[in-house]
Amino acid sequence: MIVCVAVVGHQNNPLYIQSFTEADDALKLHHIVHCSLDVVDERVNNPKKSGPMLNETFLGLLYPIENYKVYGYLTNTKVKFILVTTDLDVKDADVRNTSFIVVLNGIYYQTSNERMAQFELV
Amino acid sequence: MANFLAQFQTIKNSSDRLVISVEDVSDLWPTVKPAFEGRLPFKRASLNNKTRNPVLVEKLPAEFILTTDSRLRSRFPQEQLLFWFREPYATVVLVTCEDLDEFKTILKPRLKLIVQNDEREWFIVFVSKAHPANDQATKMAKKVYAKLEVDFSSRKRERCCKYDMHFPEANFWEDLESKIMECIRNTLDRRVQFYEDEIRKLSEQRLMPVWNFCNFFILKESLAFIFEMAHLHEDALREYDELELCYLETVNMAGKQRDFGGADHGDDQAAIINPGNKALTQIVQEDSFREFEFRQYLFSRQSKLLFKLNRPIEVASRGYSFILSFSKSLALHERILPFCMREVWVITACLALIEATTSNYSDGLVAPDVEKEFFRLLGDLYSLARVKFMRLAYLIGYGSDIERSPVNSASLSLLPWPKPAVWPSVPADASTEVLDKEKLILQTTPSTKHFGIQRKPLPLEPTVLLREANRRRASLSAGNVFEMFDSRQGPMEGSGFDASAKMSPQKVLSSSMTRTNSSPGNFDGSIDRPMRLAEIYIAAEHALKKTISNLEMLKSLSSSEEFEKKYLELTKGAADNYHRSWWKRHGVVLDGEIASVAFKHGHFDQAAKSYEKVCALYNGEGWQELLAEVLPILAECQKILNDQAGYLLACVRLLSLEDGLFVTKERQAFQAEVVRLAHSEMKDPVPLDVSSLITFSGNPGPPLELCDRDPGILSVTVCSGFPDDITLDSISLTLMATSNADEGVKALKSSTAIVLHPGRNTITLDLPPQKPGSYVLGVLTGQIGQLRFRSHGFSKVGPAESDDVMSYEKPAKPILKVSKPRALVDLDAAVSSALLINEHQWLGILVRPLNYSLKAAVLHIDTGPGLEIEETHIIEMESYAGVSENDDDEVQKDGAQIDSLNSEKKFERSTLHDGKIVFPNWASDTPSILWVLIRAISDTLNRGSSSVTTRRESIVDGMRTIALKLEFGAFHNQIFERTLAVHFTHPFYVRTRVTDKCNDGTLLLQVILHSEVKATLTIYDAWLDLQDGFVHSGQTEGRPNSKFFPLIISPTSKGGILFSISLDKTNAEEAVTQPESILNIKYGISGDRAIGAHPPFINESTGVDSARQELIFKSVIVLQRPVLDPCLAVGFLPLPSDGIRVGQLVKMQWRVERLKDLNEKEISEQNDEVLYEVNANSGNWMIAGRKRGHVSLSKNQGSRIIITVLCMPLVAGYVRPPLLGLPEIDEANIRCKPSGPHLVCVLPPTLSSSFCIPVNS
Repeated sequence: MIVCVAVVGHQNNPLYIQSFTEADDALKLHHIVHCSLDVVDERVNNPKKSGPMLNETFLGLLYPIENYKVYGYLTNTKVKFILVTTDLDVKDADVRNTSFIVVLNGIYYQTSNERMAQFELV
Repeated sequence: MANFLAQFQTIKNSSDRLVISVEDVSDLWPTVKPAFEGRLPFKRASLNNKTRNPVLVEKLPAEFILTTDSRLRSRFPQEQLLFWFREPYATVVLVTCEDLDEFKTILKPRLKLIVQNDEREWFIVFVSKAHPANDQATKMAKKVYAKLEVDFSSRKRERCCKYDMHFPEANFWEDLESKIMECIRNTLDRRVQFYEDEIRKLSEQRLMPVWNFCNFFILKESLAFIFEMAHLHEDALREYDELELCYLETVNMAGKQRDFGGADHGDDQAAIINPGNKALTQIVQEDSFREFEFRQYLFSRQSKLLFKLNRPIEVASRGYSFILSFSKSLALHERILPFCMREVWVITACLALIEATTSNYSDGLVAPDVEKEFFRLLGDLYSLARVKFMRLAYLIGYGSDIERSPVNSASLSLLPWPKPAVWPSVPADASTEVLDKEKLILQTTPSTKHFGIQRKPLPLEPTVLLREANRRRASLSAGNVFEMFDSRQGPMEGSGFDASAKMSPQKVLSSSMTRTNSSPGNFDGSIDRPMRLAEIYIAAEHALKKTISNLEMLKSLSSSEEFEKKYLELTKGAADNYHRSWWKRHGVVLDGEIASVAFKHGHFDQAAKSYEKVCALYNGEGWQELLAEVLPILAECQKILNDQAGYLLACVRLLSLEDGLFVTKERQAFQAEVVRLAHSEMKDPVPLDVSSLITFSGNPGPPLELCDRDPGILSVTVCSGFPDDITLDSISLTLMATSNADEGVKALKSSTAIVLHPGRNTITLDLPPQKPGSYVLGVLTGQIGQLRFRSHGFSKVGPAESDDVMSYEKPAKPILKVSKPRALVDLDAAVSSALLINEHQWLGILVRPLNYSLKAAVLHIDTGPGLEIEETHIIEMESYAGVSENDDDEVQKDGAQIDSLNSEKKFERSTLHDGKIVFPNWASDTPSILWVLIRAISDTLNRGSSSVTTRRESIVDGMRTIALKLEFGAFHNQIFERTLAVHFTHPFYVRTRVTDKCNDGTLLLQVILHSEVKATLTIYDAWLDLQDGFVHSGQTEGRPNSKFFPLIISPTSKGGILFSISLDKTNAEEAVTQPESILNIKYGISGDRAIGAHPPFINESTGVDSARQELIFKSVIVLQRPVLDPCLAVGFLPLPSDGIRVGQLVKMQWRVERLKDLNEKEISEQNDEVLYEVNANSGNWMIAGRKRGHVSLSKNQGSRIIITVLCMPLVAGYVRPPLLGLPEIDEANIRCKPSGPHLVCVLPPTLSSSFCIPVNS
């Protein structure tokens, strides 16, 4: 289950965060998304390490944490899409091909075009 | 083969290095052993790896063992093959012989017997005991060795070497080592080949039922062991990796239910670093191994090899992945494992891994980015251990000690509860503990947030523990009750702890009692009754005590204090390592967790420092929701620490967070704190940056435009982020010039208190005159009590939806434009030509505002000398719609121009007060003319000129100045000064000419009148008052014929009047009374004051019609008697023709002739004698004879006389000759014709000899 999707600006500022949990605990997801920027930064700052990933916008699994997975997608304009899922059996390719592109691109363009009220500029 | 497992294990443990067997044929070993063993371990050994590529091994340990040794003897052939790795890798045959015959007969056959076994790699070391001094023995030894070489060495391979006991040859040891190495290499290659073949065979059978993993394992590990012994760790590691892969494939094959393991005592402690934790025989199960132990064993072997390869970072990296994957496996088998085994194992595994890797890691040996990666892994390990530890602590009731922060919530609430087959139940003897725990729960009060912030605490648990625990009690079927119980709590109730705190135990008990009563009664009461939270805690604690074998961990969970100690240790470990890695955010966030513990214990200073870092992190990247969680705690720390500046700043930052993050009541509390502190007794004013809270901007629309030196009022929009009105004691706003950086900043101050309402406020500030340029808003500063605030924040101008969403910052818009100095008004004389002098004339002053309002302007008028303002001080003012305006003005003031044209021409009459006049409103924007009544005073009479003399004109004569000073602008700050020059003139300029002289002595005097003004002049009358010596001829009394009048003279044209006069011969004796004649002209003028001269103003009270006004013009005319009346003529007679010389006497002669008879009067006076006088320059001439004297001259006309004077020139050159004067005769009566020469040529004196000539000759 995807519990959170987020769009983070090129200055690592949150542009849009949507969590899909029933409880009033979105803050913990904010934390997860925020900390995952460490990984994104590390990948961006260490092109040697990322190797073939250099030109790849899909950053793949950022967080190999036991109970949830965090995926990242980095656009050319350094806008990041972060996706948090509790589905541990999900495959990278699935995320890449389906959920990520469709869900996040959809959100991004929708918010850009329609300027949804939730789209908060920081 | 699996039966050999135990033996295999023993062999592995006992042999850890290569064996080189020594065949001691001649009992030499004891002698040479020290020297041989001294070469161990071998350095830079060249071996082949698995792919048959040469590899240099730096240190290769080995052991020399005699073939007679028990370790080598008692082995069965089968064993030898299976555990081939422990067999000798080389055989050294030690021989000596001093006799050739002995060699042939005894030694050689024996050696042949020894080396016939091809399996072994061997070579012969011939030991020569011969002393070098003993030549005989040495020679013999050489012979024997040569024979030996012939017999045993071949071309392909050297198998002999010679060792001189007394003086070993220099290269012997190298030779020996290379031979040993060759043997080892060959043996190694052969054995590896053998094992590989065997492994391949087994692998081919892998899918067959007979396949046995143990056999495969023994072969594979043997191979790995060979490599390990040969120090080819890379190859050994690869074998283990393949083994692990193979195992994971087989272990997960369906259909085979195997024991997982992990149920033994002590299994909770991870053995991932310790390969010898359990004997393999213990974990063998059928044809394979138990997963729990075996995977750990494999990892421990791998890590051991990696440490040997000096790759601790890889151990950490692999270890972390292993722990995660193994933890998943543990989760699958959680039902058969002890309670919380998984968590305990992960904690111990992480800590063991951290310890092992850090002890094997030495700083600074690897690249910085690799090092950072290592620390990140350590941070991850600590973090993982920390999470699991918190989970255990929560289960036994220390949940209240865990901060409900986002990081803890993220870790714990997404972590499922343990899933034991049966949730542990409370031991029978634990009732007192339960009671104690319940008391503890009751005593614990939920932590309250500062500023009265009401927030639902973040969950630390995935679901309510109470429900989860009771649900997992296998025999309990009363889960429905708890579903009901939970639903009462509400779906949003995330905290089991809270639930328990709210529900008293009695309540829970009563509900369960109800359930028990209503149940059919099939259940045993103790099991049926749902557990209370305290019971769950106690049960978990007891179960954990059974699970955990590590005393230290038990201690850590024994009390709240011990838990906190361990918790801090793990958190600090994670934070420190994250700080040293790339993952700064992780580090800083964990610092916040440490800070919360410090805060709890009253170490506010430490807490504040850490919280500041956390806040700076969130604030810097705009994560306001997270910031809102931490900032109140930081504020509280600072409040306690009495850090007023910090506390104020924190409050302001809290206020400036997004609106939705705090409710109004909370924000009001923040504001109250700010105001309270600002007005409290702070020692020093505290500076504070409120850029995010109070923002400001210029008003939308074009910037305020001001002229140079104009003050103004600047209107600024200030946005207040305060929830309530706030009073600012003073405010100051700086303006910055955009073009000129040197200009510095100008501060606009408002000292009066300003009340800011929430949202937008418009504030007006007085703007003093600024230098020309464009200005933007700089900094807003101000004071609230003792708080000196400062804001750099610009608020957005205009509607929000028009802003580009992607632009973060707008360029500063100019708010004020001060134009460069320019003419704002123009003052000029409205007349183009001269005005009448000595008359009251209107002077028009054209006031033309140049795109600038002259509202309430004041004009000061100051007349210069010779000019006066008329006594009544009447001023007329009218609007001016002249065509002389600039095109620019017309364009700019299009509207105004049209207005002024359309509207009636304004006219106003007023008076001048103290030399100044205030402009009426209508004249503020349109050009106007101010008519001032003035009179230029001139005392001198106009003088006419005769036709023979030229007119002496001077502009200055008629020029008068008038100084004007216009004060205008909103504050009369603009001053325009100008001095106008006005030209005044008489109406006419008079010239006279005697046109004719009649025979009767009448002179016709023509008077020409030049009009000097641009107005039509009408002459009504003219008369001449003649001077003495002239009289009017006829009876005209000096007036021309009256028919001439009125004579009209057009502007700048001429008119003429003829007078007839004659010389007056009658009254010559009278005293001179009137030396000049005066021309009087009575005239009228009709002209426009806008052009120039015009009829003089006459006060209306006199009632005279200005149109018929007659003016008098007087002009002086000087008449002279006629001068052409000579009576004597003087002539200079020519000088001698041969020239005159210096020193030579010359006769100068003048002839005087009487031209006419003198008057009788003159004759009586002169008595026919004429006085003469010769004037000469005494330097040039010497006059001989009388210079002055009387000569007699007849009174008759035509009488003449010659006056002769002897002169001698004194200098040579052209000199003036002496002149003859007649002093008694008026010069007018002397005609000098021809006049004497101006200059005469005087020659130089003749030669001096001429002076010798006697005078008489």
